[in-house]
Amino acid sequence: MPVGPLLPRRAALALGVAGVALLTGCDNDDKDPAATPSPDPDVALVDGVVAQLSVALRAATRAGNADLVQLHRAHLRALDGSARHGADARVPRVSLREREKVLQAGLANASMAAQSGELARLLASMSAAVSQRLVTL
Amino acid sequence: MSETDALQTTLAAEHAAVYVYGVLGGRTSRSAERATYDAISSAYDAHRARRDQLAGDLRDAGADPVAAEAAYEVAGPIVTVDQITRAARAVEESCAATYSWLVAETTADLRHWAIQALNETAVRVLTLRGTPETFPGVGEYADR
Repeated sequence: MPVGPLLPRRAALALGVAGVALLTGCDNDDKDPAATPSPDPDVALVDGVVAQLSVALRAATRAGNADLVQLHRAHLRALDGSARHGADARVPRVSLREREKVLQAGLANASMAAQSGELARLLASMSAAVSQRLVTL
Repeated sequence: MSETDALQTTLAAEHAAVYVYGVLGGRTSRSAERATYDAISSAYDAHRARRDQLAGDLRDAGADPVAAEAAYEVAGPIVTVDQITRAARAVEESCAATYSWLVAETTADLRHWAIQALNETAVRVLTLRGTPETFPGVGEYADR
């Protein structure tokens, strides 16, 4: 099975898009070379996931749940993202379990939405890791 | 690789899982190790259901589902409960890798199926004396 390298987020996303084009045999011959390239939708997707992870990380830190803190930090590193301070300023306080359930669903949805197959794979794995923690929360 | 080919690869993995769980079930005592027996039986049922669903989906798509091998190798001795649960975890970890790969190879409903399967198999590992992972099914990130 194909195994992707560990790459910084934007490099990985760029390669993912290029990979999709190669696999599907697409070419750019019919595109206007002067046109501004469309922004990669996966960049905005990852930004949203980083925001969700930042909220979850702060909640886990407040709760003193070292395992979740370690998990969310590892997931942020995999996305080449840093936790955002104040990311939960407008997020209502809910239980840690509810917060993690929301995160799990968000990661699964992000996996569904990802254009890059490798990014989808990583996000699906993250959702599965959170599912494991939900068993004992 | 087409989505049909990806499903065929996943079906082949399910054939192996069903076989191995059948062997493991035969080595597990319902009376002496009830929790292990229940976990193995539940896993067997889950993989058999996925196998049947995949085969049905492939037939619906006009493909001929890949057949099971006559037998599969079960790694290591499978005598003690620890050995049996270790072998079962190996099956789940292999399936998790297959499901995560399927996520990357598919879109829409098939990707949704793969995400669900990955989540379920990750949780099932915990019923087999496994521990939570950071990146289930995506081993190359495990040391991050």
